[in-house]
Amino acid sequence: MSADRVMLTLPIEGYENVARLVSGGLASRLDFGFEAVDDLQLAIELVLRSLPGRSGSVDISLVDQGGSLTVVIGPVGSLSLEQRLQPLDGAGVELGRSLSRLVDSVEIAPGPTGPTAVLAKKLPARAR
Amino acid sequence: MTGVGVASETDRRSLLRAYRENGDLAARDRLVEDFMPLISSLARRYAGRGEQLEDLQQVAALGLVKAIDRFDLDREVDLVTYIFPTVVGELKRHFRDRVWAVTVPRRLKELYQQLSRLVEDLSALKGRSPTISELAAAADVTEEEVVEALEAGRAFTARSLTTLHEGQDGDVELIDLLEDEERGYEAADNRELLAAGLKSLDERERRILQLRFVEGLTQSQIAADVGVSQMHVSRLLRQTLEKLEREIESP
Repeated sequence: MSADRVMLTLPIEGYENVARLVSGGLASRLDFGFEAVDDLQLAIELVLRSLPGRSGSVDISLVDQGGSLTVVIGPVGSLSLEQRLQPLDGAGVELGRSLSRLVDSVEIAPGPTGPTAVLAKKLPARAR
Repeated sequence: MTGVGVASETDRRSLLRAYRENGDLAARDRLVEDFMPLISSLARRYAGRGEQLEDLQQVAALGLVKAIDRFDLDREVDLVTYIFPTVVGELKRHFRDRVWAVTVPRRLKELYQQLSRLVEDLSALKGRSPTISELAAAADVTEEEVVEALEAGRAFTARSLTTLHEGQDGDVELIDLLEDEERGYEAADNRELLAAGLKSLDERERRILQLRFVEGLTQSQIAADVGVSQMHVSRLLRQTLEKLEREIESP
């Protein structure tokens, strides 16, 4: 494993705090601001809490891409970026739109064990 | 009763009537202003229990506005006798929702409080959100300790009102500490809250979600808009996410 990649396998249910600690620790090493770290952690948590089904485990890979941090979460099963957070804004707001407020890019991409959610957060220019 | 402004009860009722019957917002503002010494006094009473005074003052002010909106002008009681328990109820509800959910070492609680202040100060100083390393340097701790304390701060989070109501764990002691004056109106408020359960988000939570996820404001911009600290916004976002999850699980 390269030094700029951290991988975790976690039970889906109840381990959000572990994901937060690890992602926060790595993001802080890359000199993200407090708010950016918090947004990244919130995005990861939002994906974990939106996963269909609450049993089993999920892999989280955090990769320092030099200028950005990419987080790959999977398998995410039938998770859709179009699914809605119902209590928001009457009809609900799409998960993808919510995530895009927290990270710079978000997509569902194929992975070795099924679909994955790929989040990327860019470092601020001053930190590169 | 101490800490109430200079207006007489008759003046206050006149202001309240002007607001209620004519929509006179200036009259309501005058009323709010008149009760601010009481609000500040009550907020200070609950300070030092893990929450920042400015956040408590915001909570108390929210309670005041609720009381002004709800007070029945036909009742033969002084306005202040309604406002006092309503504001105290709002403060207690705030603590009920935000007790430390797990045992957190004292040093981390204190560091978290220190970091809350530093985030505000450094953000103002630098015009941007401080990095973890800047926070660590300012607090004279390691970066790992900062991350650990921030995570510990998230244990300062939502707890089911029902759980506390049923007294199923020892944390109910915090509420015991907060027990005091009049309970009549507050009990009614709590019944309403329990009846509503946690399925619905309150107005502030909806607004914070709306500002963050729909309008795309940053946490610091939301903090300025809503009038709480940035870290308070962070906690509220997480607590609201947990509620969303419960709502999705049990529609």
